[in-house]
Amino acid sequence: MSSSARRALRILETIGAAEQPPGATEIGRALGLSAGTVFRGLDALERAGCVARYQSSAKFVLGKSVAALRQSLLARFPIREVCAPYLRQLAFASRETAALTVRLGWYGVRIAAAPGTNEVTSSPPLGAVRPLHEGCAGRAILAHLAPDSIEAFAAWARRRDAHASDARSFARDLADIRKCGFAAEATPFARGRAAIAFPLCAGVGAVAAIALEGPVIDLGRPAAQEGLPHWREIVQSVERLAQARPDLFAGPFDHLDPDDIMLS
Amino acid sequence: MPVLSTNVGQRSQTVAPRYRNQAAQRVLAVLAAFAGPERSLGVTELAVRLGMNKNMAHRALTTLAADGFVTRDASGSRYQLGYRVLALAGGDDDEFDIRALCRPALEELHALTGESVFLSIIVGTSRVNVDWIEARGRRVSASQRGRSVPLHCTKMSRALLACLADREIAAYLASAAPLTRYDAIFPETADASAQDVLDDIARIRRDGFVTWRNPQQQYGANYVAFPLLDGAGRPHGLITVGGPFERFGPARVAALMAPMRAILQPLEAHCRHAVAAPVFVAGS
Repeated sequence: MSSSARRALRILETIGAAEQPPGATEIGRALGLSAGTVFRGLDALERAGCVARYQSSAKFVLGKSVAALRQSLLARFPIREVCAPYLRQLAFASRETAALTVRLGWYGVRIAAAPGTNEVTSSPPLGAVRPLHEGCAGRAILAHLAPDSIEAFAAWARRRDAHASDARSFARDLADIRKCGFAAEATPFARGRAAIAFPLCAGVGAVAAIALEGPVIDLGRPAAQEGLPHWREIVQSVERLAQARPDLFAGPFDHLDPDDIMLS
Repeated sequence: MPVLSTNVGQRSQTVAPRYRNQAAQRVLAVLAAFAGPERSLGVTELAVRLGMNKNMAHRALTTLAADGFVTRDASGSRYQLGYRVLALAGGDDDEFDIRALCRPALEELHALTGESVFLSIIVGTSRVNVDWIEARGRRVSASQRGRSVPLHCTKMSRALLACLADREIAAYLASAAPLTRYDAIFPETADASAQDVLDDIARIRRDGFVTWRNPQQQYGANYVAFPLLDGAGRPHGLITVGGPFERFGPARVAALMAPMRAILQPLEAHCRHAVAAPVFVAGS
């Protein structure tokens, strides 16, 4: 198929990934394309409703067609609906945003969240993707995969050259997560404190993780956090459901080889 | 960048008719076809639906599959939306702004009925109207902006109360006692007992919508209201259509019920995918 179609898709991804709505010049620079080529791609995307002008400017955001596609895809993850009331409970209990990240190949994708009651948040958008070894949600999932899957992940990460070369500290980190039942991720704005994520296991390993995305624990004494037993209890309720009804925790891409899924 | 803005605008206005970038548009049309309720689509099905030949549809799918925008489904013979779509995070798309989301439906309902339409949400233990379109002439008027109505006062409020959990409703009714304390302000539901409120709740839960007439006024209004729920059955808000009784009576409401529900159906589906804002009920 034509390269114009592929360029349009690249432009779409660039707009989706941008932190601020980009203009044609920025898109062209990011993709190494001429202004004319970018304009043609934007024209096709705009006509299809895939992009729209940001506040009538020359900058672009994703359009309604993309929102409809994403909603359509998210609806195919029954785990979102199953977890929604539990996320809300956790957000109430912790005051921080509680988010659901599902495993998608060797990545974690944030697909649902219940906002906390704190007035300041730095939560990423739905659809945010990170390789499993980055961030507490992905590491909570990774630590609770079957040993052969962890090995396969390590091999994939080495091929990408994105994984820490120290295999020993990687294994130790995963063992620590398994021991305490959650993964922690330091929050840069609250020194000494961390966000945490609990794995959700169904069948042979973790399929998702639930994260509390604020500085909920003291890294020096993580187990001493007062709310921890209650948060754990809520997550365990979800896990019991996962054990009883693994079908509700299945995803639309479970049949794909993880190595074939490239998201970044 | 105002200069760039002008150029882009001029370009799309003057050049677009003769330049159509057909290949890209065809691929995007194929991608858009996956936004429907079907979990997967076959090549022939897509070609027929989009009015292109099978070869074109297949080539478009190949392009989309190469980047993960579509993938083969578990059967291997059909295509489904791909994982790459999930990673199109966007920015504004992810914010569940109930008012922005509901506005098109309010406009459509107003255009269909010619009556006043309202969007209400729960704030604390009250209902607050956050958006509305007022009809012209003799009409149901929008109340004072920001006015809060306790959840047991007025049927509109009870329609939202009905969406809460039983223990929350019990806690609310206990905290709001005596229920008659606002009777002077909200005469339409004056002298209500807790059982009256619970009876209304049972009706609303049974039907999924509620209709009522203001009994206090001979020439009063008639209303129909539809709760908007998230996937866990928690309330995002309530959309109400209200009109003068002689114009918007039960027969007209019944006649309009199917088209009103058709307008609300996509909105209801969208609402199910976002978690509703927390509701704070004292004692629950």
